[in-house]
Amino acid sequence: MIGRSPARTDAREKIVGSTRYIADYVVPGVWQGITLRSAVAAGRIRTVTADAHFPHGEAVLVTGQELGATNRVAMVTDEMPFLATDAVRYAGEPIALVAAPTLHAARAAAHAVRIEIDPCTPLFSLQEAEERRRADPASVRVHAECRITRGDAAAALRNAAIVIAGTYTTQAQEQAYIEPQGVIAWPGQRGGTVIEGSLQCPYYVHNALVRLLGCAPEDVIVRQSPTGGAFGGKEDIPSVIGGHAALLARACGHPVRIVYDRHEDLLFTPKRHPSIVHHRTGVSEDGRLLAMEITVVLDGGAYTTLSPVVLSRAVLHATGPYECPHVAIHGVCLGTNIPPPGAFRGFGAPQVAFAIESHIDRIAHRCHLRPDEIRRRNIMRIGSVTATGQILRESVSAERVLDEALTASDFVRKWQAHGAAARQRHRRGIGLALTWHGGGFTGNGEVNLASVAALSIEDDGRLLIRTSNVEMGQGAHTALPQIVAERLGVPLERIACAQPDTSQVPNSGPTVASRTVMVVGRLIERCADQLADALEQAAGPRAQWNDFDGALDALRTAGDPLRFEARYEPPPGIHWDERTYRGDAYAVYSYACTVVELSTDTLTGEVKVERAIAACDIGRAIHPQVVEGQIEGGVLQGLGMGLLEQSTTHEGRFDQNRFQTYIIPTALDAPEILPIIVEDPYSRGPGGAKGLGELPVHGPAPALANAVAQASGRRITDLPVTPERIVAAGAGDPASPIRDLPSPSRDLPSPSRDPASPSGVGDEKEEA
Amino acid sequence: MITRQWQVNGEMREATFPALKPLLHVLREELAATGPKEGCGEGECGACTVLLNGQPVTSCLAAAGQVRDGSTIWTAEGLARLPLGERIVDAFMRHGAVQCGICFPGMLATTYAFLRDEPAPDDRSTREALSGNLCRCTGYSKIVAAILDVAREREPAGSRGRVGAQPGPPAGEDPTLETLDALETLETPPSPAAPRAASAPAIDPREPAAFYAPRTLDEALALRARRPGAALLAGGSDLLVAWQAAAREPLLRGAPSRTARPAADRPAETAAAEAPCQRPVVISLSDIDALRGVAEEDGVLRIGACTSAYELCTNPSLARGAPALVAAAHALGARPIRHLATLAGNLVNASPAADLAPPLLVAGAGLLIAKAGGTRKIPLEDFYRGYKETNLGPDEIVTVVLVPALVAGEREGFRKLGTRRAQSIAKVCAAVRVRLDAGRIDAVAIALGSVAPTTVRLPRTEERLRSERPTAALWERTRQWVAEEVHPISDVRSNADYRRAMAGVLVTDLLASLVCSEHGAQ
Ligand SMILES: Cc1cc2nc3c(=O)[nH]c(=O)nc-3n(C[C@@H](O)[C@@H](O)[C@H](O)COP(=O)(O)OP(=O)(O)OC[C@H]3O[C@@H](n4cnc5c(N)ncnc54)[C@H](O)[C@@H]3O)c2cc1C
Ligand code: FES
Ligand code: FES
Repeated sequence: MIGRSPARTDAREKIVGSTRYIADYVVPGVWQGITLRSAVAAGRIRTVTADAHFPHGEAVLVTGQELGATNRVAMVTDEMPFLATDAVRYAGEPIALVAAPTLHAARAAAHAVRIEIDPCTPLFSLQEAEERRRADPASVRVHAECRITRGDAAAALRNAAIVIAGTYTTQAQEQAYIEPQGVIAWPGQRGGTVIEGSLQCPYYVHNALVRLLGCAPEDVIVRQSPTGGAFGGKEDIPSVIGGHAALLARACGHPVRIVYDRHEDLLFTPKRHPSIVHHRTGVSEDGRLLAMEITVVLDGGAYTTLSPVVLSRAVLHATGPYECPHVAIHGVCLGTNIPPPGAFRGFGAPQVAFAIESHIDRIAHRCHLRPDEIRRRNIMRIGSVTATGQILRESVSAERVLDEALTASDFVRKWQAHGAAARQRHRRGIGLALTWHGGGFTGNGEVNLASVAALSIEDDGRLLIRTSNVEMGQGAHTALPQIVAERLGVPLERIACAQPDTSQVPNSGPTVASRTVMVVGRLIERCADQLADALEQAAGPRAQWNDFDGALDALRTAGDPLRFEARYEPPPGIHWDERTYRGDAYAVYSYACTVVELSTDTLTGEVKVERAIAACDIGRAIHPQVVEGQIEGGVLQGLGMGLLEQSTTHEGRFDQNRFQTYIIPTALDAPEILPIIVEDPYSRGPGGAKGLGELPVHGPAPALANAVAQASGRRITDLPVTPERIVAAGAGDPASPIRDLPSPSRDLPSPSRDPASPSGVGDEKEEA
Repeated sequence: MITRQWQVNGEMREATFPALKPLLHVLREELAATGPKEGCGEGECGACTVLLNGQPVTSCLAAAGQVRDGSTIWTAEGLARLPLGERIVDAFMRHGAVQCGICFPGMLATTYAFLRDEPAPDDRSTREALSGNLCRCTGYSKIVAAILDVAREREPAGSRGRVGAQPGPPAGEDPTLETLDALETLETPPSPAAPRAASAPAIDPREPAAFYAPRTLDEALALRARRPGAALLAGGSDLLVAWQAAAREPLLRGAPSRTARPAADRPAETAAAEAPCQRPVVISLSDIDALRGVAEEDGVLRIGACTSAYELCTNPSLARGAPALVAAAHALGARPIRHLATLAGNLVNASPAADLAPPLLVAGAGLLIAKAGGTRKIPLEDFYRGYKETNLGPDEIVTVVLVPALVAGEREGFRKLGTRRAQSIAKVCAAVRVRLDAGRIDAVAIALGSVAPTTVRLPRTEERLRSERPTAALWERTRQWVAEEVHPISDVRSNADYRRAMAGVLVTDLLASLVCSEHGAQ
């Protein structure tokens, strides 16, 4: 069964429109909830009151004042309130909630709520925060900070023949799932609640709600509704919105639905952390990395939320899949007054991938090497040691994906041809990026989660996979049954996944971090093995069974339990020290090589992406068609980040408040995408599988920037690579010299360097 | 409240609703058709696409009160039961095209219309057709492949070429005339006694103060005289967006002072949030058949004010006589928007980014504007008074757009730089009409969008070009002239420097290509 692509069980209903998403639920007597928010980015709340016009009886009002000590959302730190009561830290922060039988009535009632806030001085940009902190470290809130040290980077940089420095920035990126955030809360028993909603992590919401409502865990039930896209965007915020709905349901005694409209969703829910990454790299003349000094600065916005974990993944991926004896990485996540960023597919890794993969091309240029040569010279192989001192022991396929992508794209020939082409107005370029992604939670995360998954035999003879991992389009509920089918040799039709419901499934952890197949799939595989053992106990060796049903009957007759559970066990020999950031950061890594081919109009700065190739090693493809879909979709999200998805703020509010201005790719913007599946099995993954979900997102943006650098002669170091930036960098100006154009042949002399580099163009410094 | 009877997925249904409620919400809440989804409520994502009288439209922007009695509506639920729909569903499944699925009911509607109408789909035309349906999960590859697969299957064995003629009747009619028999043998879908399906958040559920849907222009003018200042509702693709946005203003509270409202591209949010909106008086123009269609008289194209952008794209007289306008209509939104968007709506909305205005400005187009007492004629150029301001009187209606057709020796073109390759608002757009005489520029008109408070002509540049010989050096100078003559601003879509430079590039590109292709000059 593994390696085949049976039809997805959920597809038909979704196409014909009969799948009911949360906004489609028919709930008699449901009230609609809305959120009143702060208009100022920083201030102190003076009053929150309902005036005499508030239609008590026909509407309810909930404020934070009533909540006391439970008013904290349980996340990495319990810092963010469900409803601000004293300080407000961003424009749009929830302060009060109103529910009424209709949305219209709720909005009308909201007019009777008065909120007064005394403003204070906000901090809006990461650049500003970085500067302020340089002057006075105590003046800026720090959500998280960490360092990785290997060898002595400072000394090695002093001794290096060539030192290349560069700074790279990325903006907030919106997940832009097409189904907006939504939940329904029913008043529950003994002060509890039942929550159903569009979410990735049922037990996160469960945990947060138990704390908020102060009730017993069994009195909170959280169910996932069919989820119309998430990409990380439904990891943390459903705990907040779920809490809001539950509070309103408790106040009015009715079920309450909160579904955000697109404006609210774009303006106030978490996005990818904006970043600034500084690199200083020492290299030998022949392109060997001698020392890397990297600073990763993330904008953590108003509250800590998931930032420490995002920062951690960012620093751990900052070197790229390259080995370097001397590494010093400093990561810091600063507080500002923008809505708190959160999880988005990649979780810190796409930002640092853009930086290192742009930087490595510049190093190649300086060393007169081709992009593939510089990478091969430093690439991680079996036995390589990472910045944290982890020795990579298996399934290290960086070079394999590189080769696959080079061959499929005919990279070397095209790169040389484009580099040697005459400088006309319309020019082509090809760019490369090599990336990696650690599967599962970082460091001891999986050990701490201690996930449990179960497999049960139902009365009708079906095998039911019970996990809290959700189907949100990525195909989890298609792949997990395949793992069981493979292990037990039973037809797929008799295996199903339970819809995640905290009263029915154990906590197998959140649906994040590319962990569902690799980590939870492995648990399910172990459950299947237990079942197989039990069947053999009851019905004798497999070879003697008449059929599976007969064996099941024997098991039933024996009165043995019909439910099998497995709990996470770390692979042997894995050690991680959170304090020193030394050890095995991830059990295993997946690798991808992305090649982007494009043409540019150097006068208008327009970029037409023609083809994107992504060779991804994911150990083993359980369902190749689903894998291809993940790669194709991930590549387009990465290209969107690279090219289109501008996200700017004005006084702490996002300017792009609607799909007319937050620009995601249409079918015409999407290039031909060629997914290449590479399989280098991982011994501890189900059937050999590693993580896939996030991997394809990292490479497209830097590969695109590298291709634009070749085509236009201009390197853009700030994402997105907009036409405005390409033109401002002087791409269309025939008088200006070509800067940072990768040299087509190693014999060319080093290009002349323009000391006064225009803004937005990387400043390459060379030190003796 | 008004009551309408429609044929929804082949079944007569009746619903009662406030006239301005978007069709999407009537379908979802009153008729239990929750196939169409709300992804944005503003025409941008296509998740709500349905076939209305055979044509794909974003149902979130169609005011239900404008949908006439007897209209046919097909949603994904119904389309999937038709032969072509079934084949599309199967192909999507086979190709593993579906991920989260939320975009697919809309995709199905768009795809159905595309395969019905397009004789020979290819990769490019398929992507163009889908460009109003955003999918964030898939990268579109498998969707496109599935659609091309259906197109191939459809090809009768042994014959090549005109693949698409068979399934479904011609556009503009009921999509199922031919397949209705098949449908009737199917069991009708369970018809829940209109449970109040959950609404996505909301519609503006308010009634307009009054809603009129006159059938004739005279009635409309009489109403307009009686209720001066009433909102004229044509396709609604600007008005519904504005009304929806006002009804959903984020509830931001505690601003230090009411006056501190910033920047241009940001609507005056707090103000709107604090006070309930005025209920508008609305006169719908969509039932007045006389306001649609194209006629040609003495070299002048008479385009009915309510002609849709889609009709502009497909009209043969316009293809000959006003190719720049056709190109602009093609660049407007995506197909589901083009069925709603009307010509007069685009002009009267008076956005500086209106794509249809520059081609009309270079053609020297005029407007016929009627009121109860009579009709006046005014050059389009004189119609604009400032940012989003026209000289339309409160009792007037634009009835006809008069466009001098291209004459022999004249050429024209349109180009747009948008925020992406489809479904995007212009950063800059340009139209040029030019005529050469004896190797010199004899007459030239240039108009631009998004470089000033209104769409504009460039009289100084035009003057400087007159009698010049087209050479590369002239184009270099033209770029400068254009850049000097425009006054763009920076906003959420682009910045002033870029716009200024691009105005020059677009105009010279157009001039060079128009002049070259005609005369081989350089
Ligand atoms: C998703 C989306 C994409 C879009 N893309 C583009 C684009 O690429 N390029 C572009 O230019 N536009 C674009 N638009 C806007 C475009 O759809 C509108 O400008 C459209 O042409 C307006 O026509 P309508 O009939 O829908 O106008 P309505 O909303 O009905 O009316 C608009 C205005 O015109 C007035 N009006 C309408 N008809 C008359 C009349 N006969 N006499 C007097 N006044 C009248 C109305 O009172 C109103 O003030 C887009 C809109 C959406 C929602
Ligand atoms: S809901 Fe997005 S286009 Fe209608
Ligand atoms: S499948 Fe998820 S948006 Fe298209």
